[in-house]
Amino acid sequence: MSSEATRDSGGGGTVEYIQHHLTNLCAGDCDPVTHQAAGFWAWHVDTIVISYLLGALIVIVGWRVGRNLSLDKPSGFQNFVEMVLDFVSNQVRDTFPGHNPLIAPLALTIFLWVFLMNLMDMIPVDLLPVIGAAMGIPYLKVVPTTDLSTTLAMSLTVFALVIYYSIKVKGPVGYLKMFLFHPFGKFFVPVNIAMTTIEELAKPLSLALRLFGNLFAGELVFLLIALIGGTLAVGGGLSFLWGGLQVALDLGWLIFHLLVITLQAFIFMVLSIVYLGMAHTTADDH
Amino acid sequence: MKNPPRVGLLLVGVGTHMAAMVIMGFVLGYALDAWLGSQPWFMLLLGGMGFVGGILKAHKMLSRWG
Repeated sequence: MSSEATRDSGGGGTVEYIQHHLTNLCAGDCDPVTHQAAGFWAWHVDTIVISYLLGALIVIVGWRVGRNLSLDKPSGFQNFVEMVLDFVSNQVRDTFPGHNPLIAPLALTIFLWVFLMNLMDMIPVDLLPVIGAAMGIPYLKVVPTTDLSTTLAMSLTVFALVIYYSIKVKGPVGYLKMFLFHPFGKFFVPVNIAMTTIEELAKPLSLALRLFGNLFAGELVFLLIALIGGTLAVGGGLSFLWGGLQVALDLGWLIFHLLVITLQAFIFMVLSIVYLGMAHTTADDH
Repeated sequence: MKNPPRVGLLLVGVGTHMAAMVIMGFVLGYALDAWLGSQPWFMLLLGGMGFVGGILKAHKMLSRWG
């Protein structure tokens, strides 16, 4: 919705509140009115900074755990990290045919990073933006995975690896054959090329859109629940009712969403492993 | 490829994969049309192929692992 439409709609505060929360801190080639990216060289600074900070958190925590490893008396946190490692390692062993030392670390990185980025959704929606506003940051979208740039960047990275390993394992000719003779055999080569191109390109797109869609919708529901609190100011005697409703809904959605964010991180990881596994098989198996 | 035991998890992606194939068909067709100046034929053709391919793919995945 354009900013003019917003002003004309009469939604006033609520629409602006939601739009403000869903706008990234854009630098570079941005629209001065809507603050949306207007060209290729637009940087979503908040997404970049928060996702890098979370990545750094994984590195630092991993480094500290690695330094204090103990065989005799493992700490509780070491046990937890080993549990996560075992879980990811089992998934890779179950899903990935063959052997590639890159896959398990990649899967672990994807799982932890996506999970942590999703976990930012659990922070109260107004907390960080209000702190940011006090520090002079006009827009702050705290969940990096509600930005399509993040999810597409990750899925395209996986896609690049898929192409690399497909060509490496099947050979350039084998990879091209997949485009020529799949899925309708050798008499429909042009149709096969178009169909397989669509199918291959749809993989990273669906990977990115699923994560983005789930997290964006989740964030939107949190914002809508937070808006119930706005009626406290005008609710008069019914304030207690609205306040109670907000707390109950927020808690319910929070618990449910905890499941969603874990599941989405897990699905992103598993599908990445499966797509990479397909790239490692020579048989026509899609 | 031997079916790995957990590959049924792929089924969570059936819906989005089908939608993504339709979208990708239209996007590719749109790009081809913009390149060749043949609006709207490639967009319709590839969009239709994405739709058919999406259904075929979903059917294949479901009948294999469902």
